[in-house]
Amino acid sequence: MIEARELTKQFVRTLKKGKKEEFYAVDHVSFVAEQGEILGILGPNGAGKTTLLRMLGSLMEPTEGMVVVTDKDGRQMTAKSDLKRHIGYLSENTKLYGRFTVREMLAIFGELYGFTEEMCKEKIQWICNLLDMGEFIDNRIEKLSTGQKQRTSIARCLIHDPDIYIFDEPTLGLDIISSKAIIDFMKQEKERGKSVLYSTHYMEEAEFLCDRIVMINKGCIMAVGTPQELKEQTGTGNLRDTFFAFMEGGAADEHKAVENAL
Amino acid sequence: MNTKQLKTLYKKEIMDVIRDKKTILTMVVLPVILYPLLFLVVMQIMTMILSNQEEQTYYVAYDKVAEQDQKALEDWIQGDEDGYDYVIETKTSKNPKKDLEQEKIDAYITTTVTDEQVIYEVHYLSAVTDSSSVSDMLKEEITSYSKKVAEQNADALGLDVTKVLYPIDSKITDQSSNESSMGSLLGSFIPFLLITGIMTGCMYPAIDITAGEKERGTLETLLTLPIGNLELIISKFLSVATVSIVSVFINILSIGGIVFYLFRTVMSLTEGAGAFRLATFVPAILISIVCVIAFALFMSAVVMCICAFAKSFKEANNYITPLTLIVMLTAYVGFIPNVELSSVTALIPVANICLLMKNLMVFKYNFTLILVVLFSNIIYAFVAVWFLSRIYDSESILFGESFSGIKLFERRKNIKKGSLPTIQESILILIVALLLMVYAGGMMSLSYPLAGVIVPQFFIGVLPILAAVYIKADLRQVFAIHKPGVRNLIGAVILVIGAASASLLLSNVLSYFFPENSGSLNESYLNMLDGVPFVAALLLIALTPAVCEELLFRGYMFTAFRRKMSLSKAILCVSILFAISHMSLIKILPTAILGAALAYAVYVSNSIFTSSLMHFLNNGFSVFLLYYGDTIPLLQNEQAGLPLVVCMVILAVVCIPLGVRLLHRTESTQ
Repeated sequence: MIEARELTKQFVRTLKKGKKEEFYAVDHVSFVAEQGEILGILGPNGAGKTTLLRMLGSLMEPTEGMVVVTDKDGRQMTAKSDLKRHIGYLSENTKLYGRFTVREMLAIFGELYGFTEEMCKEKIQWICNLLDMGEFIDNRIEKLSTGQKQRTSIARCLIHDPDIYIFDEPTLGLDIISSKAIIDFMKQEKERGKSVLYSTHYMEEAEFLCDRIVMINKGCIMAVGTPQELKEQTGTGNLRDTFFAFMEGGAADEHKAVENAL
Repeated sequence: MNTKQLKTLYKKEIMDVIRDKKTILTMVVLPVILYPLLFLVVMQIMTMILSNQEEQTYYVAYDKVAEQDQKALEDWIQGDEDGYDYVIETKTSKNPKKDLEQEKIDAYITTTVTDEQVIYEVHYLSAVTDSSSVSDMLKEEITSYSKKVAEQNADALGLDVTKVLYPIDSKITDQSSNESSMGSLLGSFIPFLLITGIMTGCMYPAIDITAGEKERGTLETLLTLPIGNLELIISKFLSVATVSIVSVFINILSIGGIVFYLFRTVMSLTEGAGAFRLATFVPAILISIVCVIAFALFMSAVVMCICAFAKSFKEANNYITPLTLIVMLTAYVGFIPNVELSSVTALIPVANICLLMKNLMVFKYNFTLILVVLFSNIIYAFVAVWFLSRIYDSESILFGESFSGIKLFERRKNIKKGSLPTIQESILILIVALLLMVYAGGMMSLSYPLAGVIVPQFFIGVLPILAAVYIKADLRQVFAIHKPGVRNLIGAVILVIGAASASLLLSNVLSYFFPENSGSLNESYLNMLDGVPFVAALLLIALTPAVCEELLFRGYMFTAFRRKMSLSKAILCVSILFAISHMSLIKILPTAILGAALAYAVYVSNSIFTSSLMHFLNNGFSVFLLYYGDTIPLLQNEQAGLPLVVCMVILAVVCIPLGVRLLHRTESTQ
């Protein structure tokens, strides 16, 4: 289980004549992703999705608030290195080391998670079978096809068998087959009782995949709920219209909407 | 620190870097193949030129020379067994001057005959290689012929030849050992080669490991791992340092090979004239290696610091270029005579390594200085690594927008119209202008002292204009070309009187504390302006800087700084850069005060003309004093010191606030 408590990120942008302005990329955002749940984070470009997920993945330090991960035994942790051990993070920016073979890269990542060489070998074998990577595991990553690279990326997230997955727009720019691989993987991990946090702006994909959805705009939560709940709230037929309804609702209704949702 | 993680990360970085073709290219191919190849080519060309010269036949004509004089010299040249292979042949010519110009002959000889002497005059063209070499040969031949005839004459008179002709002779004997003369030869260029080698050796891995990793997008992947910032930085740093140290050793081996070859050739030519023990170099080489390793650590960290700001390979390359320039110029110190390793130079990075190696090569071991060089490099390396860890902790650099770049390196068609100058650009322009000033200006001033003033000013004025045109900036906006208004001009004049008084006061106070530094400037100006009329001097010393320096400092640079900083910070930075570029330590503060007044005037009036006027008045006043200072009785009066000081204090106190009040804000016309 992963929880965002009042997560806030403030950036400073430089305006004309050296004046500086502070603004909130993420503004006091709180929610929980339970075990065995796919939680979708929806929002337009610039809504703060990536910043939010980077903070959740401990890649960025929040200005305010904290991230809490609770493991299977009920232990709560907040330290960066503990969090990272329980999170598999994948985004369009997490590229692979092209000059390594798949096996080399997985071994290095395994060792950096603190596994012994033996354990690494076992895990790589397990992942290789799971994702059917046998035919290219000893090839250099730069020589792989897009689909093979995608599977290698998943393998990279899987090497430490985390409880929580954070996927930032994982299907962006992928063809149907490659994105199906990701979606299948998310479903499968959900079945294994993991939490999956996932951001996208493909509404249809989110609608059939997510158990619950957090809609954000301009760094604030607009709505939280199951796709069904959200559609009922706005009286719309599909998630795309729901999204626009919340967008038009704007700041005035925002507070109310969040309250209702909670 | 988690050493297991560090080890894994180090393994990963080294593997990543070594599998990059560029690293291998700069690390191995360059020193192992290119250096020896270059060396061989140079050697080959040299021997070709030499052998060409030796086997050549030169043609010489005699113009109206008495037959016996011509024959005597010809016989001497023919009969002389001097061991050279060249042949000098006589060619008859009707118009030798014309033939020489058309290069049909290489030289012609005329004679002047008196009762006592025959003077052979060799006419040649210094611009033509063959002609100038044959002139040297002929001069040598004529001298030796003259000596021979003198000896014969003395002998015929029954005199003691040596006693009469050569009662005194000179000889020079080189007392330095073969090793140290070899060492001093090597000591000047080996450090330069090594430093360049280290620089290129660590450049590619440093770029690859920092900016390259960002560009390939693997940095974010790496950050998902539970690894500490310290482990990440140190592993990256150690990898770059390893590669650069390995490349240093390859460099040393390659240079060593060349030196050994050279030395063998020299030995065989001089037939072992002096025994040469390579063993004498061993301690020097060992100490050099330790210091060079320390230097490689420092260089790696510095290069990485700079590259860490870049988002891509190309951008990192652009940032490195100025650094390469600075390092190369500093490494050039080894070629400058009389600059020695001292407790001061031992602290200057790059220069200290150069000078130390130069010393070691001639067997000067000063262990205190060796330790100073070693530890200063290690400390600098630590500071640079610490700074690097700060950079890698900063999210804005890891995830943020590109570090605002230097548009001058971009293609012009990609630059948007109406771009504004950046701080980096303006500093780059300043550095380039200063370098041109030192090199071109220095060279010019040797032959034309006045050009030495004009040329650097020309660069200072033209470079910002070219840059502004290149980035498609609005010139009126960048250089604040707007009407100043009468009130602002009056305010500017009053302000500059106050500021100049304050600046003059301060520089007098400073010259009281540092008397050895004052006055020299005035004298050098006086020497330079010797014989120059007042008006010309006014144009040179007052008007030119008032235009050129204002364009760079209060135009391009001030606009650039104002975009990113508050008014006071921008004025401070520009004034300090303005003062530093006047290259006089003692003048820094007084000049900065003037610079600040100028910048403030431009800010308030939004017109470069106000500061130009101020600059002109200030410099013009100095020129006036230089020319007519001794006609003003007050200044000559020894007793007038105190009243003058009081006068200046009053001027400063009254004029500065008054000028500031009179200047009033004109809103930008746009």
